[in-house]
Formats: sequence, structure tokens, C-alpha cells
Amino acid sequence: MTQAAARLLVGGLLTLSALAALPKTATAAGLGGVAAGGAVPTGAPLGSGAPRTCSPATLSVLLNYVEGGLSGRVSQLHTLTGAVAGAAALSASDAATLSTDLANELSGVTALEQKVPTDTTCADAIADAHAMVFDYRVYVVMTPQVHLTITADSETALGGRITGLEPQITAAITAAGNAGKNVAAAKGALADLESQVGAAGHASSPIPSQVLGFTPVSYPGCWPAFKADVGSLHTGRAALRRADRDLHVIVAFLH
Amino acid sequence: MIVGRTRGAAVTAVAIAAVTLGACGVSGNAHVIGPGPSTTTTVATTAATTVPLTVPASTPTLPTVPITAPPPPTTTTVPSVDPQSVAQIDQELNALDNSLNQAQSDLSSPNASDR
Repeated sequence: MTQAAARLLVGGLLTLSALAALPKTATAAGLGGVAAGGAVPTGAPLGSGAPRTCSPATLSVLLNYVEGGLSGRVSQLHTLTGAVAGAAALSASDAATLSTDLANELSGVTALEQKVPTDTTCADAIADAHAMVFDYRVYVVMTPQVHLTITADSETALGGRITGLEPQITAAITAAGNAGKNVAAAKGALADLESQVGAAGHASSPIPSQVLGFTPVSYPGCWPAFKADVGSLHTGRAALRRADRDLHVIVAFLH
Repeated sequence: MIVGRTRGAAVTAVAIAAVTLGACGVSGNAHVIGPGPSTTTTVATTAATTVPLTVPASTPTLPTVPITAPPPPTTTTVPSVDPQSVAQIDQELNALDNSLNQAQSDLSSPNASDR
């Protein structure tokens, strides 16, 4: 395990705050008194909306909560799968990676969705709740992975599309210059366009490989990286906007 | 007697003329003002009426003359930027805004049940 990966894992374990914060083994061991009717803590933090304790009398409440959580995750995974399928700018390799990850998560969450209604003890329910959150991290890892990768690849593709126009632009400017037109402004715009496209690529191109390297256990250590990635994507978007303005300046000059 | 014979011949000539005019059934006055319809005139009129009716049907079609298309004018292609490509880039920039906003939203308001 690399140092960075170890740091992410430790970070994730130290900040357990989810419903199933209680380790599975500890939870099961701690449920020894449940048979006598005592409630055990679920580990859910305040404000999460999840039941914070479970007893035989309130097991159904916990089960309903987990079933709702699983249903929402299945829906989210379907939405993300559709987003990947509809993202024309995604590179083939990134699309394949995301599709595989999403399929695996959907398979696991669906299996859990089928199991939870059969749970008869708080220990089972809490263990499944733990798995729902910790094993998949649908909202805080998988979802940002999909949207960040789509956005980064979109910026890369857009930069490539603008770059693809450069031969036309160069030829048109040259022709205009040969015809006696003052092309200094157009040449300046083209130079800036090239610079901006380069800046956009520099900002967005490293993101997919970094983002797709994270797994559910990467949370919350991956969170600062995600936020930094959004900042880079804003930078890239701004550069592409400026390149587009340059493009319009050139087009107006040529017509 | 010779005179008498001359007078007799003159009378005979006048009588023949009168008989001729009577046979025609035309008074002397009408004959002088305008000619009567003659067979020749009638035929000519009929021919003038029928000829135009037959002409269009028998008019031969004009021969087809092959027309050689003139060579296209020599033009010089002026390099320019494809406007559709520019419009496409504008559209993709707008789509990029939506995508980036979504990514931002994931991080600014994550689902609390997953934290």
C-alpha cells in the first residue's frame, strides 16, 4: 500500500460519522444485550436522519431506513449510469472504467437491497447499513467520480475541437494578409487562443486518472482532492471561454 | 341592198347581246358595279379556313440541339472558419457549464446519509 493510499484509508477510518460507524465485529459483539430487550447504538450521527439506536422493538424502523437508503442509492446509480452512457465527450477508457465501477456497485447494492428485508436482528441490520455506506460510498465517492470525470473529459474534448480549427484559422489569416488586410489583431487572438487551450488542457487532463483511482475507502481523504479538482475545472472552463472569445474575434475579423 | 344587209347585221348583234345578258340573270347595272361570286373565289376562301387548323398538328418538333454547359467560373476559395464548428463549440461550452455545476453541487451539498 502506498503512503498516500494508507493516509486516505486512515483518514477515512478516523472520521467515521455515518450510520454504520460501529465496526461490524464490535456491533455484533455489542448486541449481546439486545436479546434482553436493550437498545444498542447504531452509530448514526446526529442530524443524519438515521435511527441512532436499535432494539427488537425498533428493528423495523431501522430496516425501513436502510431499505429507503438502498433504494435511493440504486436510483442514483442508474442515474449515473445514464449520465455516463450519454456523455459523448467521455474518453473510451474512462467510460469503460466508470461503467464497470457503476455496474459493480449496482450489483452489490441491489443484492443488499434484497437481503435487508430478511434481517431479523439489529446486528444484521446494522451490518447491512454499514455495508450500504462504507462499501459503496455512492454519494460521496462514486457520484463525484462520475461528474468530475465527465467534466474533465468534456474540457479536454472541447480544447481538442478548438485546436482542430487552428489550421483553418491560420490559412484564413494568411489569405487575408496576402490580400493586403492588416491581420495583426487576428494573429494576436490566435496566439491567445492557443495559449488558453493549452491552459485548459493543463488544468483538466490530469483529473480523470486521479479521480478514478479513488475507491469507497478513500473517503473522506479524497474529498480535498475532489474540491481541488473542481477548482481546476473552473480554471479550465474559464480558459476555454476565453479561447472561444478569441475564436469569435477571429471569425468577425475574417467576415 | 347592201345597206339593208348592214342594218340587218347590226340588229342581229344587238339581239345576241341581249340574249347573253338575259342568260346571265344579271342586270346590266349590277354587272358594272362589282363582280359576282366566282367559283375560283369560293375555293380560295375555303382553303384559307382549313389550312390553319392543320398546321399545328403537323408542325414538326424542333430538333434537339445539344447544349454544352459552360465551364464553371473559375473561383478562388477563400479560407475561412466553418461557422457550424464555431456554433458547436458554443453549445458544448454551455453544456460544460451544466456539467461543472453538477460536479460542484456534489461537493457543496453531499447526501448526509453517506458521510
